[in-house]
Amino acid sequence: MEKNKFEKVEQAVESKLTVLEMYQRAPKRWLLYTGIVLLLAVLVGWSGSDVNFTGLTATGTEVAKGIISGITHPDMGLMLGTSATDVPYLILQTIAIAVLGTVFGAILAIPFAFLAAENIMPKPIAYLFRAVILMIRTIPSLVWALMWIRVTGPGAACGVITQSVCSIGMISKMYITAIEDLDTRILESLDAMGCTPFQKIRYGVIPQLVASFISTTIYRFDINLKDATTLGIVGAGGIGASLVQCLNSRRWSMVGSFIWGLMVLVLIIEYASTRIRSKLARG
Amino acid sequence: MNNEYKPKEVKEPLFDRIFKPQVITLENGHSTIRKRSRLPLILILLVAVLIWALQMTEFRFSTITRNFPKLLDIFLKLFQPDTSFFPKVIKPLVDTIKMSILGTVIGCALALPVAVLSSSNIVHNKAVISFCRFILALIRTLPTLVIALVCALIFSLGTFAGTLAIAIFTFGIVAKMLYESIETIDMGPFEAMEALGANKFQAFWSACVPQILPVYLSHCLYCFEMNVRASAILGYVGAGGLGITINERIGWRDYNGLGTVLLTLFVVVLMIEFTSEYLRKKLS
Amino acid sequence: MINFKNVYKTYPNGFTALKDVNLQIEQGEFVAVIGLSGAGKSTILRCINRMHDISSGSLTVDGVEVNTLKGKELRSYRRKVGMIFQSFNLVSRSTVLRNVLTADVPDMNFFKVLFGIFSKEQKMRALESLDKVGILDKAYTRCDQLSGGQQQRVALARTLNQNPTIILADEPVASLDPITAKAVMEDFVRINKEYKISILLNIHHVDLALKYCDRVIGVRAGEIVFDGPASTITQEQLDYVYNGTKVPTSGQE
Repeated sequence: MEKNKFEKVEQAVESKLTVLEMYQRAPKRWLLYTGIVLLLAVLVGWSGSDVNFTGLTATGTEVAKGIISGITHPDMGLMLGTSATDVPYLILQTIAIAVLGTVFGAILAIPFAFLAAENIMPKPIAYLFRAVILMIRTIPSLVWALMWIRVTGPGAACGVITQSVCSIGMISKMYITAIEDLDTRILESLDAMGCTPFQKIRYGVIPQLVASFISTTIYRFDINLKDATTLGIVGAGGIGASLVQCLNSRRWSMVGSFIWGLMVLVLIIEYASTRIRSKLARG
Repeated sequence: MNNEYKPKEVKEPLFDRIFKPQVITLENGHSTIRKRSRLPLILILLVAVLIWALQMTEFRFSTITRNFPKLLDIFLKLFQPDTSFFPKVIKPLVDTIKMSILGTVIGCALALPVAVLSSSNIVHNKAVISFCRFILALIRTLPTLVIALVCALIFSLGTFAGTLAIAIFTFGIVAKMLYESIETIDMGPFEAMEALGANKFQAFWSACVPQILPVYLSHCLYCFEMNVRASAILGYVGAGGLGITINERIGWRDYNGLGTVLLTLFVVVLMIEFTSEYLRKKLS
Repeated sequence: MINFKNVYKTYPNGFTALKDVNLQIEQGEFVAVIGLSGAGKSTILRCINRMHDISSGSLTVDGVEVNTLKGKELRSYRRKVGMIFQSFNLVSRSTVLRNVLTADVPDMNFFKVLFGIFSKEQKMRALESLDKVGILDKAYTRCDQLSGGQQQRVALARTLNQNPTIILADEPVASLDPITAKAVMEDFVRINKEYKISILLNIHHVDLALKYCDRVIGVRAGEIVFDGPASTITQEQLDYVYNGTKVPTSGQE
């Protein structure tokens, strides 16, 4: 009844406002909206000014036709062959690169994540490591690959080490969120039972983190796999290198078979990763 | 309502049929079923995959430790950026940003109608939904760099090819994220609009769009963030922007110059990310 | 005037929700439909504005055969019949005023809908509707910041804004606490008396139905088993409607 009374008093006060007064009180939102639209228009105009459509290249239509005919008539020998230059082998190599890159990245990310979590580390250290993580994320993976090639030489190994480093950025960012969302009340109850710090970590912290860590890792595997297909362009192994070579030398039927291989690979992995992650989320 | 409802028969997974669940019986005769843990099986599989992958990629830790000084050398130079190179970074950087803005706007604009057509709670025609989703899935399988390369081959080298590649990539991602969000909106207001005499378009526009719009804008901003980073490397295949400069510097082993490029990119990405994060927080 | 004549309704899955329903409701009546869940309360309401089709029989509203209406005719018919939902069905991210204004959308042309342009007259009318349910001061608040009772009043204002002759309310107080539920029921009574709008509501709380409504219709397994003034219903009749199970109340009495 208390609340009812309060509402009545409030109504009595407010009822002095007439409908017309209320109408005139309308917040001037349209000014904000026009502002946003104008800003967007200016941005688009400014960026459009420099992107010139210079028309097709002399061979543009030929390339387009070639790619379409390549996709419709892929090189079946290449698609089903078993040698080291054929599609199945390259796909397996791409998967191998992504698997290793993700696993190493996920392991390397753990110390980074704990060092950058604000609820565990003192703030200055946390911010320092956040800056490092951000830097790792900003450098494009292709640039990382180009630098690592100097160390490992061209080949699949370069792809692995590149992906391990690149994955740290995103994975540790998501780990940090999981760590900062930890439910600390569980630790209190473990304390009350007289657990040692190690026992608290084993039974209070790890069970909370494992599911989200695994989910993050699988998600990153999905991304790494797509990334691994492009790393080949700079010579870091996988299917990308062969695809680009064929594109540049215009062997369309080979291009077609590589594109088919790529599509099947990514579709399967994406489907599997979504299934596994939704299963993890349900427990 | 349906009184002839029958519960679906749950099929036992293959794993549980091979490794029969253990039945634990307490002293008082009550019993509970414990399913066999799948952990050992998963671990064995994982280790096997790792060993296979190590052989496949010929990855050796020794090569890294042996050549580590080389990398350290590169890194030291990266952290001593060549400031005199800075003026030459501005133009390609602006190009990169322009490519990302235009590409994001075009891609996001195209994504909205397709996302609506792929949402099962709004469109009830199964054929339309699966067709749209299939196209989106195909687009997402192609790496941005490959799209950019093809565009560059067709439309000549330069920013146009880059913009197009970004637009296509953005279209695929935003449309997918958007239809997943649309499927979680509250359809109650839509029903209310139909009950008060609105046609499908009017009901959709006044009941669903206000719910979709903030999510859509937030996805667009997120994609813009990604695009700035992604478009920085498109130049590698000749699609304009910073990538050309990066490729050039690495080719000449001018790591001090590369340091300047990366540092500028870092600052710009940081600023964009902060702005976008601020805006996205305001939207939700 | 709403007139059901030998109405049957069978759902596509074979479940028969209404069996030989005969019912006549005059303009300006305040009627409560009571019964167990699944007895067909919602179906009766939803047939009136053709959210569901009837399978056989005839259902006329003011002499118009509802089941023959199509497309435009159906939509302009629905303009006269307001509907209130248990879950309010408001666009929770929009302001209260925006939600009330959506009642005008069906009469607007494509571009006005597209850009959300409403005239001053429309806004004034919407504000007046808000005033009628006593939440004028909340006009520019976002709906998700309101309490459940206030949200149901916004939904009521939206319905009033379409100027209906009939209001159908599908469990309007089921998700409200007992005190707010009473306040909302009082709003319904006031609107029924002041504007002579017929109100037909399904309600789970029998005590509220008996207290506020003029006429009670008891539904059991798709059939009407009681129809008469609220004051004349006896305990045996109630027990029969509820199939011998405990009669649900709002827990206030």
